[in-house]
Amino acid sequence: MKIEEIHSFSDRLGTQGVVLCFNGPFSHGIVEQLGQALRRHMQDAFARSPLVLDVFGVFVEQAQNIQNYVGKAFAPNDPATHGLSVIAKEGERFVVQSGNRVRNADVASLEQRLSRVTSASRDELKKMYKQQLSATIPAGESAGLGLIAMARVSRDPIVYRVDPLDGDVSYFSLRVTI
Amino acid sequence: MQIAPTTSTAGVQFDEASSTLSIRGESYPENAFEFFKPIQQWVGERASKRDGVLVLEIAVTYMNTSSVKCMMDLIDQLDAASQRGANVSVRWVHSESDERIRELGEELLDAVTLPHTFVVRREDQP
Repeated sequence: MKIEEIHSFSDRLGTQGVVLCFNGPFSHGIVEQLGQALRRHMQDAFARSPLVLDVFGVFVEQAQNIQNYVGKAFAPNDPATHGLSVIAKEGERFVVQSGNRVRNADVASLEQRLSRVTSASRDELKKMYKQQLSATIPAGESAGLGLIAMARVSRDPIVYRVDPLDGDVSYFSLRVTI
Repeated sequence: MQIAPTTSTAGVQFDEASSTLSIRGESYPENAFEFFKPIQQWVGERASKRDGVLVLEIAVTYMNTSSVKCMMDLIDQLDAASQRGANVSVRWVHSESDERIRELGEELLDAVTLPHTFVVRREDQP
């Protein structure tokens, strides 16, 4: 980015209500530090509102999903392991979005899990959450609760898209509104 | 059993006098299953003893979903011990404004027969 672009870049982040944005390799230390920064920033404006914890919680689930997924799917230090997290205020709502690369081979199962949670009603989501909570998880697998929990806390249905990049990799974006 | 808290992992401490194992703080470790494994092992051993009295005090302020799953497994483990006659119970502690944690506790303890109580801490208390 050129120096002449910094001001317009800052303006653009401002008009889009961006509270926090990170683009790069997600490590556990980064998740901790960004999470703390996000909460401190929000607590100034919203004190003890459950909103702060909801936004923080979705950020953590998205960031850890990226970290876990790209760690398995791509070689360490491959730029494809980089992910994006952006939290913005849109009117009265907070929008927590993430982006990362996914192997095309994994897209079908990802879309299947997403369409299950996006088509479910509140009651169905609650039932799915409880079922998954008491399920036996094979060693090394994730608890499988993250997407369901995000769908439960999201005020609008969660939105996702998958943009094919090449024969092997697509870009996955996820939007949760609090 | 004692684990010092960090930014993303809860502090765990056992008080022999009150037979209370307390888990306090926030829990979103890089690997929740690894973090909870020694706790589950310790609780399993304790609850299997014939005179094994144990109160599990859960005073967490935030858990990611994998920690929630591990906590559910821990509660299920205690519930099974309770059904075998062990003197075990859960005390779920949250601050009065923390409705999210209250709801989570209700969900986790909803299906168990294990004795459990909710303790609401006032904001000005530590």
